[in-house]
Amino acid sequence: MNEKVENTIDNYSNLLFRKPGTVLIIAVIFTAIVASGASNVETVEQNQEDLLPDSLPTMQAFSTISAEFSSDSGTTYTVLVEANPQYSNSNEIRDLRNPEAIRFMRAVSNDIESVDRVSSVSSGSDLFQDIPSDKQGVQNVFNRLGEPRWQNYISEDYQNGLVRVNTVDLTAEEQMEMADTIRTTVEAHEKPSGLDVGYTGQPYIDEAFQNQTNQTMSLTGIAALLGVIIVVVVLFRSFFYGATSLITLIFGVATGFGLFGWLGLNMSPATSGAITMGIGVAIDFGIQPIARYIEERQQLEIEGSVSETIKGVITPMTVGLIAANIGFLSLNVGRVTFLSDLGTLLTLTTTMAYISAFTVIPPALILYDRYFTENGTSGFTLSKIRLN
Amino acid sequence: MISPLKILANIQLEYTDHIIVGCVLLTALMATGIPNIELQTDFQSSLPDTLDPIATQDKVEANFGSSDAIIVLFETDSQPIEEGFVTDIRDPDMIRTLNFLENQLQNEPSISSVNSMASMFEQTPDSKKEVKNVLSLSEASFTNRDYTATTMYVELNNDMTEENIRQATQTINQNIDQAPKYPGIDIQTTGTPVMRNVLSDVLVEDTVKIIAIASGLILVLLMAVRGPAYGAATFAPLFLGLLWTLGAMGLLGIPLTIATIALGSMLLGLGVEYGSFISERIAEETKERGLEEGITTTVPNTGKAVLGSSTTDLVGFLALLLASISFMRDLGITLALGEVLTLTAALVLTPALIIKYERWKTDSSEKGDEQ
Repeated sequence: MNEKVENTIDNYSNLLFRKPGTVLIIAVIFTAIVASGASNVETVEQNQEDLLPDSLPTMQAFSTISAEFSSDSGTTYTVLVEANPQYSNSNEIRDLRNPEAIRFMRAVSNDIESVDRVSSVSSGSDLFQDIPSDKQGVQNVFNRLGEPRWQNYISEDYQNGLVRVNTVDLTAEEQMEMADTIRTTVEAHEKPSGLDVGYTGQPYIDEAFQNQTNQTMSLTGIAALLGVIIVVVVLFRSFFYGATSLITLIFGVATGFGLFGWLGLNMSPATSGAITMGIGVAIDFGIQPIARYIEERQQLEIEGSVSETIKGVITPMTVGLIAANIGFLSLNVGRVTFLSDLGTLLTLTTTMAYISAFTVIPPALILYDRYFTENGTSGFTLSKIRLN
Repeated sequence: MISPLKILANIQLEYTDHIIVGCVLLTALMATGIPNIELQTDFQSSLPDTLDPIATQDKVEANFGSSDAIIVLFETDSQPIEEGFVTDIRDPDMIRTLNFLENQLQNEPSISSVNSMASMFEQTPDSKKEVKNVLSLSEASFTNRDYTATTMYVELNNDMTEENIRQATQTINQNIDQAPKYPGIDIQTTGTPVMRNVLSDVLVEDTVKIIAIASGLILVLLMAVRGPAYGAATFAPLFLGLLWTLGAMGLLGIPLTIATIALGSMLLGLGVEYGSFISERIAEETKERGLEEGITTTVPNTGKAVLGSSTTDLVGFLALLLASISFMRDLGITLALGEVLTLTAALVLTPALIIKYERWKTDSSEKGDEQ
């Protein structure tokens, strides 16, 4: 390390030593402002076609079909009506040849058809002009139509029936609203006993994906944070040093995620693990300076320890940061579309964690050493914490 | 009590060559797993089967068949490039192509059904007018508005696995190649199953490309900062750790998914720190205290700090095992595995390579002095 860099580090350490509170307050205000951008981040749905670039021939053909053929550009919602009697010898519907089940499908279909922007509804009830009054009548119609026709809507064992709803030109948000409307419309009808109703189709699956992604992010984020706290407290055998190493994580993830939001980028199921990964990466930058500071404090006073700590870890941490960012930014060369967002988020998190390791951790250590150890600078009560 | 890391340092000093050879042999063994890595591109299958929309979808597919079909798109250019080009999909030549392909595909065992406007023609029509007449009888929309495109839907007999889709797409493409060719007709396969196949190919290509670019740049950086020997000694274990991880994925049946595609760059980015801290400290300590003391100081001290920080990474990655989305769990397992392997490589191999290099350097200079 050349003399100029060493002098700069000495001067910076001196500044930190003299004004630790000011540096800490500035860092907290900066973090709060930047982190507020996180509120702009939304979790968006992601389909197979969203993952690949439009320039691929397969994707171009798919776009052509979606644009040119109305039946393929719409969204299909499927309502599955299932015979599921709970009691033997009851009056419940036992199979879908029961006219009451057909009437239910017709009523539901008619109501959904009247919903704005629904282009067509088809169901097992379309097979009948007038619904027969008994099961045998229904069976007769089936026999007359032939299997290929009625089995489009009613399963071979008569246990399942379909109501297919088609819509055209809905935005992603409208598709979700339509999914809710269809569910509400069906549930407004009193369901005959013995029948169950299920909903599927891409919008319902996307909705499930979004819910699972949000749950995954919260659950794994909290679990990772708790796990990391336990590990660092055990590692340093000190709650303070453990908690201080978390500063890089909190500052890094909060500001990284905030900047991600300010850039107008969103999370998707594929990037939902990024926070957990970011936690893992960011904490590394907190542990190294603290471990080194504890070592240096055994021989030096606070200011000297801070200076030697920064000199000792700055090169490997900078190399680590650049190398890590090379790794993350190389994700931009991939053709899978979400990779660049993932790379950007990890780069931001890691860089902000690195910055906080040199701006927030040293003042926190100085303040603790100065005001919270037994004898101030002369009696370092935690010197018993050794790494070897 | 002597710490295990101190014991490791002593072993590294005493059995340097054995460690290096052992790592090379381990790499050869793990590399055998790399070709076995499975690809998983079905987004939907990563959700729990117990979720209502997934359970309902499974029932619908079990009773009514899969709604996912391979689509063959036939396109013409409405502005003819040359005289005699097909410019309208109602051209009898187009029906001839569709008819041929539909008949061929219906005879393929892997295909359950084929549906296109060719099904409406018992005989090949002689004129465009005849085609128009037949099409006007159908309610189904087989063509786009300006009659420049039509589709053929192909459903498979087998489950929509990556392999079955790939084989079926190959079969369709082979049949397309054999179909009568008329100038002006472009044919392209697409649809969700084909996109999954394309995604598999892109996943593999991207993984290789990302690892190659990231590796090259990181090696250059390390060599620039640490010099060629220490740079290579820091990078080699990192790269081997990555190869071990990919091999382990193949051997343990952990699939490559859209989530694990970032694995290479993640591990290179994370793992480089361990080797970097170790080689930096060895260089620092060796300069002051000599090689042996440099190693016995660095491996226990920096090793412990590195172990601590990697344990936190590990906890973060293992937290992903709580995810309900299966590809996130796969990501957690893979990253945790990769973390352990790159850390092991950095802790065990980096000091051994530096010892080997420093001893070689000393021997060379001693020989030089003798001469």
